[in-house]
Amino acid sequence: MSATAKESARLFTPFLDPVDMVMCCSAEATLEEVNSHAAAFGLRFPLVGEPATSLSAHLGVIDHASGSARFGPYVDNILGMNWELKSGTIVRVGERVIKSTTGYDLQRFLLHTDGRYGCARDYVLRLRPLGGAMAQAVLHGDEPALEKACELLLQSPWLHWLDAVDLVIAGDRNTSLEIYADCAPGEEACFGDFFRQLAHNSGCLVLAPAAPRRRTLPALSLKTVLSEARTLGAELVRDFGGAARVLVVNGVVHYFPATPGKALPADALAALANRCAAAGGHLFGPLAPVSIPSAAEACWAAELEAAWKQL
Amino acid sequence: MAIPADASELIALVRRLKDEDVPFVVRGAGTSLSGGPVAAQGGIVIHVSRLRSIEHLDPRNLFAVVECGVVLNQLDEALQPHGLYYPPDPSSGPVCTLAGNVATNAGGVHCFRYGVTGNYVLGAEAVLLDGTVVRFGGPAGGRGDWRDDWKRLFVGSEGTLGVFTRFWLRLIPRPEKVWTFRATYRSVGEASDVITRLVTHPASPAAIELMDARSVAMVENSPMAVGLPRNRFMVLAEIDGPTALIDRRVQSVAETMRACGADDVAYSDQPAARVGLWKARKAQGGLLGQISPDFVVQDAVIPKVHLAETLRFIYDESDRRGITVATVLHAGDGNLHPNFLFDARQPEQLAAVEEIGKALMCRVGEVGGTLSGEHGIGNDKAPYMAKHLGPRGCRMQLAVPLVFNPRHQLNPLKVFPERRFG
Repeated sequence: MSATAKESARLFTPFLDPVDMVMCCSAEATLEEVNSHAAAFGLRFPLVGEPATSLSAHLGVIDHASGSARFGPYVDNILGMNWELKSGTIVRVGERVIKSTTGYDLQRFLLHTDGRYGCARDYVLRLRPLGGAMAQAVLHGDEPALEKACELLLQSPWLHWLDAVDLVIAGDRNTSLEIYADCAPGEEACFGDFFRQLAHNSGCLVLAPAAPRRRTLPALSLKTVLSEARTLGAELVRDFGGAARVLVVNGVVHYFPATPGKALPADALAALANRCAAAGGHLFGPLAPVSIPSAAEACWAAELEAAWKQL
Repeated sequence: MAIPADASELIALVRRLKDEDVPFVVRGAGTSLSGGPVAAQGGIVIHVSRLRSIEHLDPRNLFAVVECGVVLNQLDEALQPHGLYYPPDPSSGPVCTLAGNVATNAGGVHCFRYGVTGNYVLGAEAVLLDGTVVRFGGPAGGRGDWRDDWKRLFVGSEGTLGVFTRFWLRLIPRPEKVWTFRATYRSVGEASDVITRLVTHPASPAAIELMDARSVAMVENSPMAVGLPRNRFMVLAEIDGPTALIDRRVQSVAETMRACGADDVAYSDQPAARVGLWKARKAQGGLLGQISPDFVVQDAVIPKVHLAETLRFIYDESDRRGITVATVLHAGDGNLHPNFLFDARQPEQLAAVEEIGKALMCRVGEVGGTLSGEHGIGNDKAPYMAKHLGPRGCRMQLAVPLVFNPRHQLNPLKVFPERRFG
C-alpha cells in the first residue's frame, strides 16, 4: 500500500458501533439526522440544539448545550475527527474509542478554533442510551426562590442525573427553571417527587409541561463561574432586553437579543469579555467580539499553523 | 533531584534550568506505569511533593484550587465534609499527585460514567520554558485571556510542554448511595455479553470492571482468596446516585447480570460488604508483585466488540512465549490492563514481554483501538506512536512540543522517541 493510501486508510469512515455507542458522521449532518440514525439502535446524541442545523454549525456558535449538565460540552462528546487542514490535507485526529491518552489532545483543542487551523469534515460522536422516558419539570417563582432552587440543585446528589438544568430568563417576572432527565420508563414519578420536593424547599411552583427537545442557537454565549452566570444572564436581559438561557450546571449563558442579530454596544461587550476572562471564562458566538491574541499566543498559533501547513 | 518548597521556588528553578541548558523532568509520586517521570536522558528531576496545599474550596461554585503536588486522596478527604466529589480515581490514589494525574489525563474505575481527569480540569497554571507563568482557564473552565483553549493541549501532555504549579478542578455533589454488584461467568462470551448490556443499562453504572479467569485463579490460589469459583470471569459493577432513584434500580441490574449466565450475583450497599465485593479486584495488583520478581501493566483501549478475540490474542501470544498473563479491564471503557509477569534477570523473558507488548499494540491498532487509555505514552509506548498515528499524524502531533519546548529540554524521549534533547 502506498504512503498516501495508508494515510487515507487511517481516516474515519461512517459507522455506528452500538456496543461502544459511537458513530462517525459528516460534520454537516444535522442533529435530526444523527438522532434518527442513533435511535434505530436505542441511542441518542445527548446535546440538544436546532434539529435541522448541522453539527458544525452548532460547534461554530456554542460549546455547551442543554444536555451539558450531565454530559459536558461538545468537546466531551466528540472523540475523533477527520480534520481538513488549511493546506487541504485531511488528517485523522483523535480516536473511535471512548477513552484515550495517546498523544496530545488535538481534537479538543481544534474544535472551537474558528477555522484558524482548518475545519472538521467528519466527527466521531459519543452516543448515550435512550432511556425510553423523560422526566421534566418547570419551576416558577420569584428571583430569590429560583436562586434558592438553583443553589439546592447544585448541592444535590440528583444533579448528575439531570440532563439539563436551564434557568430561562425572558424578562421581568418571566423567569423559570427548566429541568429534564432522560430516564427509564416508570422512573418519572421518582424524579417527579424530587422536583416537587425541590419546589417546596425553594418556594417555587412546579409545572410539568411537555418541553420540546429543541433549542434555538444563541447569538452570544458566555462562560463563567456558576453563580456569576445566573447574575450575568439576569443583567443582560435587564440591560438589553431579549432573553437568556443559563445552563446552571455549566456556568454558561446563552443570550438571545430581542431583535435577532442586533449587536450589543461594543463597550458592554468588552466589559462582559473582561468579566468572564477574569474568571477564566470567555465569550463565544456571532455577537462575541473578535478575540485578539497576545503576542505570545499569536506566535504559538503561527508556529502551529506553519508546521501544519506543510502536511 | 530538586525539591522546591513552594511555587515561587519551582518557577525560579525552571528558569534556572532553562539557562543551565540541562534536561529536566517533573515527578509527582512516580506512580506512572509508562515511564513518564523517568529522567530518560539524565538531568534533573523536580519533585513537587512539597506543593501540597489545597488553596481554596468553593462548594457554591463547585470548584477547588489546588497546588500541583496535592495527593489525590488528600483532596478526597478534604471534600468529604462538604459533600463534594472529585471522581477520577486511579488505583494509586493514596500516593499519586494531581500533577501526575493531569499530566497523564488519569482515569480510574469510575470514569465510565464520570469521565477522566481532563473532564474536571477547569484551569491550569504552568511555568513555560521561557520563564513565563501562564494561567489557562480558571474557575470558569473556559479559555480565559486566550483566544484558543491551550489547556486542552497541556492536559495529558506528560510534562513535555510546561511545568504545572496549580489547578482549578471541577467538583460535583458526592453520590448519596452506592451499590456494588459482583458476578462470575464461565466464559468470556458471557462476560462480554453482560458488559454490553450493562453499558446501556438505564442505571448508567459508574464502574464496570472485568477480571479474567487467570486473574481470578491467581487471587483464589493466594492468601487473599475470597471464595470465588476458579476459572471464572468476574464482573464488578457499581451504581451510585440519590437513594430514592438508585434503590429502585438494584433488582434490574442484578437481573441483567443473572440473565447473562452468572453463577451467582452478590450485591450490597453496605460499606464493609462492598469492600468485600471489591477485594479480589483490589488484591490483584498487590499479588502480582508478590508472586513475580517483575511485572508490566499494559494499557490499551479497544472497541468492546473485539474484547473476546483480543483476550484470546493476549493469551496466545503470552502462552507461546511462556509468559504468565493476568488481565483486568475497565470493561465499560474497553480499557485493557494485561499484566505480564516475568523475571527481568532473564533476558529472554524481558525480550518476550517486549515482543508481546509490541504485538498487542499492533493488534489494538488493527481493531480500531488506541495505545493508551489512562497511563499515557511515556517512553514505554513511544516507539509505537509512528505506526499508530501514521507519518502525518505524528508530524501534526510533534508540532505541539516544538512550539513550547522546541529542544525537548522538558521530559525528553517521552511520547515520541524523536523528542531527544540537544
